[in-house]
Formats: sequence, C-alpha cells, structure tokens
Amino acid sequence: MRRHRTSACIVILTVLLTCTVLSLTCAAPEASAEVTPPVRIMQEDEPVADAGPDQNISQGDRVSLNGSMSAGFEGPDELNYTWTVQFPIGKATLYGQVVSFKVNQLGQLDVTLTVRDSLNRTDTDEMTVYVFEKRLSFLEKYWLILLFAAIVGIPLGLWLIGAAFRVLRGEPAIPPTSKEKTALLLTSVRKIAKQYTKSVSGMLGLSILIIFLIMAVFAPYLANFEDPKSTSWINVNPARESPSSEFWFGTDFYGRDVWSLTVWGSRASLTVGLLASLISIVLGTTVGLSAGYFGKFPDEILMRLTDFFLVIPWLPLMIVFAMVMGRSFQNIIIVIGITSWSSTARIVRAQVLSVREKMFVQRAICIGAGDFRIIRRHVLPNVVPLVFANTILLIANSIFSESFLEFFNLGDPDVISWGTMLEESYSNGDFNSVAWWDYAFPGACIVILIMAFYLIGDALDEILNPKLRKR
Amino acid sequence: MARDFRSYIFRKTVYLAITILLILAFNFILFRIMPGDPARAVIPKGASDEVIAMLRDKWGLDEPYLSQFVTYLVNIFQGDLGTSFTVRVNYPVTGIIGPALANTLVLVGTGTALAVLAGVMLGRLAAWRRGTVTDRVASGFFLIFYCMPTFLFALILLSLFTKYIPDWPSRGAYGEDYRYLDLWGKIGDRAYHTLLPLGALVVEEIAAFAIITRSALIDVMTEEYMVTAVAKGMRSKDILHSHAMPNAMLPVVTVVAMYVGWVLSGSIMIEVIFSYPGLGKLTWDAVWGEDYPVLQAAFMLETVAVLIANYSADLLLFKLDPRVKI
Amino acid sequence: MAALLLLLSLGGAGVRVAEAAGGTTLRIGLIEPIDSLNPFIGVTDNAYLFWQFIYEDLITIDEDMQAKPNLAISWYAVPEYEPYGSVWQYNLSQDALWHDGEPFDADDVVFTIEMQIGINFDTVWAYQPSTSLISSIEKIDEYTVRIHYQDLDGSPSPCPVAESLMIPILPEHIWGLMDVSEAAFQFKNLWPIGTGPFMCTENTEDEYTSGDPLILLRNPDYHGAAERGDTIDFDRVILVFYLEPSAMFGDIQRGAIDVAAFNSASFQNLEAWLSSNPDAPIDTYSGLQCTGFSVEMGVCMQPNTLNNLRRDPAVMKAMAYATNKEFIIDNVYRGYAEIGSTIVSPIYGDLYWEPEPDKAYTFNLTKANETLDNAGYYWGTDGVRRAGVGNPYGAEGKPLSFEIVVEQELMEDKDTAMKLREDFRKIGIEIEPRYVSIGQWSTLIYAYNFELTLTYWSGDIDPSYLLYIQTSFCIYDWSETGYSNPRYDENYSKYIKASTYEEKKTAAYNCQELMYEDAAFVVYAYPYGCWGWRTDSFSGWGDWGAHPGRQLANFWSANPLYFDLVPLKTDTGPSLMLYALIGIAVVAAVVVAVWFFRRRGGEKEEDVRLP
Repeated sequence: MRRHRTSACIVILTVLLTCTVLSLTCAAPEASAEVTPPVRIMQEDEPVADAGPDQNISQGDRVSLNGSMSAGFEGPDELNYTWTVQFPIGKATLYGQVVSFKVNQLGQLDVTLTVRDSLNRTDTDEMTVYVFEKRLSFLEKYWLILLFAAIVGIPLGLWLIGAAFRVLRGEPAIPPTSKEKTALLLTSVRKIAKQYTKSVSGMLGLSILIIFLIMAVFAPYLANFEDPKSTSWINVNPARESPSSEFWFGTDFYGRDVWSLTVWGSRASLTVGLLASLISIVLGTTVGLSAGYFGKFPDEILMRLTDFFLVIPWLPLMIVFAMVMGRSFQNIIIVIGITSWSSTARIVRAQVLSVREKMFVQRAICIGAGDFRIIRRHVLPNVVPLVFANTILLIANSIFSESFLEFFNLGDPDVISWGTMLEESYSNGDFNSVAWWDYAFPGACIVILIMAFYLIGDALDEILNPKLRKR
Repeated sequence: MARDFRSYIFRKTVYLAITILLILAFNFILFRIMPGDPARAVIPKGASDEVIAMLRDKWGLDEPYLSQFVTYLVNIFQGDLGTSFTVRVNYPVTGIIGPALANTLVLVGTGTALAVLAGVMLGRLAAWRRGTVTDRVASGFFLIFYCMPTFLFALILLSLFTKYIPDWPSRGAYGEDYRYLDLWGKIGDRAYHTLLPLGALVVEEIAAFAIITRSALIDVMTEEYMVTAVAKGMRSKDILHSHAMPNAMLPVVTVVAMYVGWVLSGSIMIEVIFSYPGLGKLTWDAVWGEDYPVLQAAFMLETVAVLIANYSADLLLFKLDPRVKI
Repeated sequence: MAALLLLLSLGGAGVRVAEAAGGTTLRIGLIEPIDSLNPFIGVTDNAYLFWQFIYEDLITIDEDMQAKPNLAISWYAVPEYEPYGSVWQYNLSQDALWHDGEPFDADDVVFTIEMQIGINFDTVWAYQPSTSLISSIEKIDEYTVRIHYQDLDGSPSPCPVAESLMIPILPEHIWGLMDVSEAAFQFKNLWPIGTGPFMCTENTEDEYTSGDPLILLRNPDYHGAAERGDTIDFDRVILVFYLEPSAMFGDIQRGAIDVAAFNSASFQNLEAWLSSNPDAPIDTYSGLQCTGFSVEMGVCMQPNTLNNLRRDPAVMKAMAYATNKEFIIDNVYRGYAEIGSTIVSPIYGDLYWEPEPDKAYTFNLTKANETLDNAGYYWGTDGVRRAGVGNPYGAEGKPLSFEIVVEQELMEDKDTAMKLREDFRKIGIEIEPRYVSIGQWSTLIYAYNFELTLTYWSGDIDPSYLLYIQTSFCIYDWSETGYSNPRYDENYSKYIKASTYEEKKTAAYNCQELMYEDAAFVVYAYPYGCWGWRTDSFSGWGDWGAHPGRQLANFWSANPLYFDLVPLKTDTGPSLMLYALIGIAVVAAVVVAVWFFRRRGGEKEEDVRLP
C-alpha cells in the first residue's frame, strides 16, 4: 500500500491557496510570487487546508485560486488530494489546478476550501474575499486612448456621414468649394509642418511630448504594477532599493515601484495640463471675444475683471481656492483653469480689436450679418492661431502649478502625480538619504515635460505669429 | 501732451481704485464662504457659549453681510486688519504682518531688481549674438532654469549648500543674534542669510526676463528701421542703444510688472522651504491654521502690491512710448 | 554689486564684534511649534518644554524619575490631619527671585493655586488633573504653605500627586493684575517671568511673533545653584523651530544645533548616516519617552452637527480592528515605537496594562467587517458603507465617511492618516484627512468640532494625570474625545483614593481596560523619543536610557540634563573666511561678467546680425 513513508513522521504539507486578482496587466501574480508562502506544519498526515489570508479585490476582477503543494511532499502520486472550493456564487472543484471566477457582487464573499485526500480525510478552511468597487474602471484606464480616438474619430466620422449624404443626394463626395478650402488648409498645414520640422528645438520638444503621451496613454501596459500607490507594497518589495533591472527607477520608502509611479504620474500632469488649459482657453477666449467685439461698456467691465485676475498673484489665490473648495483632483484643475485665463483674454481681445477694423469684417457688418456669424466666420479664425501658441504655454504653466500644489500638500492624495511623489519623498527624508532616485525621476520628469511644451510653444509661436510675439 | 498725460493718469488711477475695490470685495466674499465658523476658531480651548456669543458679537458675525462689508472697509482704511485666530492667537494682524512684509520686501525687492538687471543684460547679449554658440548655450540654460519649478531648484540648492558649506545658514531671514547686532551687523547678517533664498528665487526670474528680452529684441531687430539704421552705417553698438533697446524695453516693462505677481508667488515657495519669515510663510501658516484674518490681510497686501507695480509700469510705459493710448 | 559687497564685508565685521562677547550656547532643534507662551493656553509638548526653562513647580523630577526639591525645599504630610496624607506642608525656597527681581514667597504659590481651584476650577483647566485634587491652600508663613487634598467627591483624601505636583508657579505681581478668565483665555504672556534657570528677554515677544528661534538667557540668580548646586554652565539656550525636518537633519550633521528631537524618518536617516560615518561627533538615543508619550486616533464622542455615526460603538470597534498598528510602527515610525494599547504607556511599569491577546484589537479586517455587518451597515455602490435602518446614530443610508483632523507639522501623523485611510476603505469607511496647524487643531478639537483626529498625549510622573483626561469630569476641558463611562469614573476615583498599591493597581488596570474596550482612543503606538546630540560641543549628556529623567522630553521643571551639560566650544559666528570667500566669489563673478560683455561687445562690433 502506498502511503507516506512513515506514518509517524512529520509531513510538511503546504496547501498554498493563492488568491490572485487576474487583472488585464497580470500585474498582481508577479507581486504575489514574492510573498513567502504560508507554510503549515502538519502534525499528523491529515490533510490541512489553508485558505490563506483574507483577500480584497475589486469588483469585476477574477478571483483565482491556486491549490498547490510545496516542498516536503513527494508528489501527487503518493496521495491524491481534492480541493473543493465553495462560494456563494457557485461551486468549483479543482485538482491542484487553477480555478478562477469573476466577481461582480460588491461586499463580502465567503469562500470555503475543503481538502480531501484519497483516504477520504478532510479538512476545511474558510476565507473571505471582500469585493470593493473597482478602483480603476475601464474608462479610467483607457480614457486617454478614447479621448485621442474621439479627437480624430468624431470629425472624421461627421465628415464621412456628410459625404455619405452628399453621395446619396447625387453630389460629389467632396464639394468643390470645400475641396478648395481643404486644399488651402492642407497647403498651409504643410507649410507650417515644413517650417516646424526645420526648428530643431521644436522637434525636440515634440518628440519628448510624444514620449510622455505614449507613457500616459499606455500607462497600464508600461507600468509594472497597476496599483503602485498602495503602501502594502512594503510587504512585497524591498524599500529604497536602488534602480535595478527589476525596479528600473528603484523603489521608494514603502517599497513602491518608482517607475510605475512615474508612468502613472504622467497622466495626472497631462490631464491637468490639458483640461486646465482647456478651461482657461474657453474662459479667456469668450471673455476676450466679447470684450473686443462688443466694446464699450462690456469691454470695460470684462477688462477690469481680466486685469484683476491678471495681476492677482496666482499662487496665493490658488492656495485660497484650493482651501475653499477642498482637496480634490477636479478642484485642482478648476483652480488652475480659473486663475490662468486672463492672459488669453487679453491676447484675444487685442487681436479681435485689430480684426474688427479690417475691411472684410466691416463689410460683413454692412451687409447686416449677425454678430454670431461674424464672430464665427471672420473673427474666430483669425484668433485661433494666436490662442493656439498661447495654449501650449498655458499647459506648461498648468503642469507647473499642479506639481506645486501637490508638493505643498494641497492636491488630491489619492492621485498618483509627480508632485505628490516629490512631496512624499521629501517628507520621508529622502533628500537626506542615499535614495536620490525617489525624487530625481519625478523631478526630472516635471522639468522635461514643461520644457517640451515650452519648446513646442516657442517654435509654433515663431511660425504662427511672427510679428505678434509680444506676450 | 501734458493734458493727455494727466487724463491718462486719471484714468489709470480710477482703474486702480476700481480694481482695489474689486479685490477687497472679492476678499470679503471669499473669506465669508470659507468652511467653518470663525467664532469657533477664535476661542482657545473649550470656552463657554456665552464667551462664544460675546465674540460673535464682537466680530459682528451676526450682522447682515452688507453692513459687515462696510465695517470691513472702514476697518481696513483705519489700518485695522483684525486679530489673528490661530497663527498668533489674539494678536493684531497688523503687528504680525509688519515684520513679515518687511522681510518679503527685502527678498522680492532685491530679487526683482536683480532679476531685471541680470535678465535684461543676458537677454540682450543672447539676442545680439543671435544664432551663435553663445546664444544657443545661453538660451539652453535660460530654458532649463525657466522650466525648473522654483521649489525644486530651491530644494536642490538648499541640500547642496548645507551639505558642502558647513557654516551656511539654512533657514531664516537673519541669524539668531540678529536683535543684538548693530546696524551694520544687522544688514550684514540679513545679506548673508538672504543670499541663498535670493539665489533660488532669482535664477528662474533671470531666465524668464532673459527670454523675454531676447525675444523682444529679436522682434525689434526685424523692424525696417533697424535695416535703415544699418544702411545709414550706424555702429552696431549705437543701433543697439539708441534704436533696439528702447523699443524692446516696452514689452519688457509690461511683462516685468506682470511678473511681480509671479515673483511673489515664487517667494512663497522659497519662504516655506527656507523657513524665511515673510509674507509667503505667513500665508502658508495661515492656510494650515485656517486663520482667515491673517490670510485675508496677506492676500490683500500681495494683490495690492502687484496692482501698484502694474500701475507704475503703465505710467512708465506712457513715458517710454508716446504711442500708448488708453 | 559693489554696494552689496561693501555691506557684506561690513556686515561680517559687525557679526564678529557681537559674537566676540557671545559665550556658550545650547541650541535645541524642534519640529512642532509652541502654540502659546501662556501656560494656560498652550497644549503642545514643546510649549511645556519651553515653560520648564522659565517656570518652576514646587517639586520636580530627577534623572531617575524621583521627586526632587524645586521651589519647595522640603515637604511632608502633616500628621494631624485625617486621613493621613490629605494635607501636605511645603517649605519654600527663601532665595528664589522672579526674573524681574521681585522676591518669591508663599503668596505667589497661594495665588497660583487659588486661581485654579474652587470657583475658578472650570475656567482655568490647564492643570485640572492636579488641581481637581486640591481643595484649598493655606499660607502658614512667608515661606511655608499647606495644601489640602480631596478626592473627586470633595472629601479629604490622600493624594497620588502630592509629591509630584506639576503646576508652574506664577508671579502674583503680574498675573494678579488681570481677571482669571483673561489669564486663562486671552493673556499672551509675551515676556514670561518665572523663577527658573533661564530667562526670556525683551526680544522674546518679537522672536515669538516672527517665528524666529527663541533665545533664553541663563538666570544668574537661580536659587537652585545655592540650594542644591544646580548650576548652569552655559550662557544661553536657543530653541530653533524647523519647518522642514530635513533642514534640521542637515543642521545637526554640521553642528549648527547641539541637540534635536527628530521625527522617525529623519532619525532613521541619521542613524544610517552615522553608521557610515562612525567618526561623526554625534550620539543618538531612542527609547520610550519619560513623559509617557503615546499617539492615538481620537473619536469625538460628544454629539455635534457632523457625522455622528462615528459614535456608534460598532463603528469605533471596527476602526480599532482596522488599525494596522504593526504596519504603522514598522513603516511610519520606522520601528522606533512600541505597539500601543491605552494612553498609559509601558514607561509606567507596573501600572501599565496590556490587553489579553484574544481581547486585543489586533489588525483584523474580517472582524472589523463582521462588526459593521452585524450593526447593519451595508455596502454602498461607491465602496462606502451606509447606516442600516434604525441606527440610533444616523439616518438610514448615511455613509460612513468622516473627516480626520491631522496636525500639519507632524509628518508621522500625516503618514498614519494616509495608511488608515487606505485600510479603512477596505471596511467601507471613508476618511478624509484635513491638515491643520496646531493652533487650528486645538480650537477644533477642544470645541468638539471634529469627527476623528490624530493626537498624542504626554503626562506626569504618575499615571493619574493621563487617567484623569478620560474621565467625564474633564469633558469640555482636557478630554479631546469627550469620552464618558460611569464605570471608568468610578474606577478612577478608586485609583485616587487607593490606600494600598494593590488597590491602586487594580483600579488603574480597570480604567485602562475600559478605556481600551470602548476605543474612544485607538492608541496605535508608543513612539520612541528620537534624539541626537553633538558630543563635540557639549559633554555630560549621560545615559538617557538608564536615567529617563535626563531625556529632552522631560518637560517638568528643572530637567537635570541642563545642570550637567558642560560646553566644549564658545560661539563663533560664521567665520571671516567665509565672508571673504563670498566676497571673492561675487567680485570674481562681476569681473568675469563685465569682462565677458566688454570683450564680446568690443571684439565683434561689426557683426550685427539682422534676421
């Protein structure tokens, strides 16, 4: 009869049940591989079930149960074990294999593990899985990709639909007037691109920006860990490990991977940069347009308001706003947006004033065109290039402001950002220790990204407004 | 001309007054919508309800907003900025803000002056040598320092200096014995302590002004009158001095005035990092102390300072550029 | 530029002149600021540290935590009174002078005590843990007083703190000029006058209001020198407050300060640096603080307009279970701490109580979740639990989301708050940290205008002080939580009245057990004091582990450390060399710049580039 060699001997049998969360990046299994498996010493040769510690997973993720044995056991041919895993949603039986199931229900999930050997002796252990709302939803993860797709896709789609209608009506897909316009546009774009590619610094900035954009868009794929901000990494990774092949940028005090943090952090900076400048552009353009176009009384009022925001020291205002509105990521964006629109408004107003005096606008007024139409058809197109170059500089400023607010503890502590990384590194005393990587990488990223935007802005400015660069 | 100038000043002064009023109103509203009950915040360690009611009465917190606003304005013009809640409990705000303002003026004043001088000089150099190696190297440096967040640069400077120069002071606007020194000692002590924060503050501003001057000069050099000047056979030095610089200074002056706000903002970071007891650090303390009277006063002073800088710049511009209207 | 140079060189000379008369100075580096110079208003440990230089108590503590004469030269329980030990006589020092030259006598003691007891008891509550036990004080003669002690019911009783009465004695000729409520709430005390070994100066006000280092001068007429040979061997103490721990770290490395109380992260860095620089003249010590320092999360038990679900015992227990004390100790405090149970720390030896393992709130999310489940809190879709039907603390559907008030200056507290937030989220409780300065912290907390907070406690030599602050007698006074439990009060009064040590111990244990179970304070750690000091500037630091009374933390009056320190260096200002170097550097920079411009300008004059 094949049994254990001696029934009295202490058999070390470990039933390791790793409950891993199989995320799309398969990040967690790597992490759990680092954990010392729970070793249970069995007094008798009874099977022992060990469900391991309770687990917390996100809604919609898969719980994966992996029953396996560690050293000390000769192999499955000596004794057969059956693992039965019971949970409220269903029941699965596994034979040393991996079973995984998806959990959509929030709350608590009791998982019972039963180990049965070929002699029919059993042992059970219970484990609880807590299911939380998913921290990173699909949208959160991929919104940047979607956004870029939308920027390209929606105009293209609209044009295609228009073209389809035209084809249905029997017209040529590309109307001749539009054809000319497109051709004109194409030529000017080509001209700008040609000029732009000649500017070395502009190209440098653009390539840096593209690198960062790739970093932000593909962060889920580039980062080694999906939830790099959790302090629990200290249980898995060594703390303050210098950069190595495993941790490219080293680890910080909590054993968190600085590379992953840096990669995810690029999102915060770009998001704030883009959205805050969007707010300030919209605000600034609206105010500038209305002030410049309508003149007189509205102009006076709006320009006083603009002057007010222009001269107010942005930082105290930002601090005060952040204090009034509370510390959250959205608020940071709003705060930066509403404190930085005034320069745009000024530029737009000046341009509108000069455009207004131009003959074609005067003619349009004479033939009784509506204000809205004049603004849309004649004024706006002349304002946009100016605003465009200004936007790029605004983005740089917004990124700077964001990192500042985060560094001084006024930002959202949950969002991974370079400013927060710097702050944590600083308060953990890294500036006094050998762990230079902890602050050097996020710090360098801030500088480089701001510089990239600045270079692009400068190059564009030179092309678009050769005579109007009096900021 | 003279009448023109007078009406211009008048106009600008009216604008200044309106904006200051706007700021005061803004200040008033902003700090009334802040979370928390100010009366609760002034009471040290659990005081009774009567005391709280008395203080509410004293602060006039139960009156309608309009009369509170009037009281607020009257108090400000009488130089009464209220008493501090938490930064220095029950201490009049004017007493706290006075020394802080002086310290900040030293830092920001010298900082701006230095930055303008050095920035314009360097920018002129770069523009004049446009396209050469000097220009490229200089522009590269300007760019790096311009893009470097002030706080980051300050941190790096601080750790380097304290690490490698044993006696270099790492904090404060003056040494601990400052109050026991004679006048020259005080000035020296201040200079010694201010050097590092000043350096951290000024480098970015120098870079900014250099970039602005450079681009302004380059713009000017594309003007036709420059070509005319060269054609006339003027010496390049004379062209620079009599044609290019005066014209390039116009945008520079405008931007410098606007930059005072920026320098003030930068000084907050610097003051916090170097524990420099100025207006910025006071703002900082007041933020965490949720000390609204102090915050309000600091904010008002900062804003009004920038406004006045802009006002002076406007007047200066009028003198510099006869074309200026409005 | 030249003007600046001139200033620099002249300034350098000025500094030298002043420094020549300098003398010897002890510089102490601290993080948390002093919140008030008035000993009835300030609450931070460093404020107490400051007062101990200026003010004296009747009795102080020596390096081995034993009673030691201070303003009282000798004392005894007056045997005529029943029960024995309910009246004590204190014979006062006859040599003591106030710093302004006025003589000290029994009137000052009587004044100080009387302004805090009887009808003033509720107004002046800073020293209530001691004053609640005093029924009256009588002046026997010019230099003798008797204090009558009472229990909480007001009947005469022996007193646990009779030999360690830690109340700073204040000068009547200053404090007697104002009414009591002004003294307790309004008075700024900008030139504190005491009898202690160090004195404030006319600049103290200015230094304090500007947030500069506080300079204290040696008291040449200190009475302890003649009476006990307690002499101070250096001229000044300077308290330097740092906004940034890393600046303090740099300053001890280069000797700009002589001793400093570090936070854990800086201390860890310091130890790491010292292990690679063993020759550096810096000694360190870390260990439990003699003042019984503990850090805890406090729950506001008094109802207010905020989210009252926090007062649900189930929620409090769940939070206690979800507090990962081990993690906080290992990572936030970098191992420089011990696991916490109640605010009475292990430094109290026998009187320290530890929970049995099965009753302890060890980190257990399952139990925390079970507790919340059983109390009817269900998961909301946003991952935050909601109150179930019929919850007495909040309407059905009210989320378990709280604001936790954290002191901005304390790095560890900020880290802990973030860790708690991470763990509490796993049991469906959302906490949002609100960082405030110490000033705002104390106004929010002591008005019960908060939900949760992180706080710390230090106490007296006898745990009665710490036990008192959880009784219902000090609600709206010292008690941050407003915790109230009749059984606790009962046990506390047993503790006060206890005639034998066993009784005292049982009562103390009961108090601690109740306090622990109810979890109004979740004490997560007893952080070590982390100190480093320069051995090249002072000698006589002693062994802080064997003699805990020498620790910098000892903020009871007359810390023996300062009497033993011997300066090894006299002050030198920044050396002339340095000024010379700066001067040379600036000159060089100017010369190079000028030369550069000239050369560039002159050499290629023709080369005008017009684009």
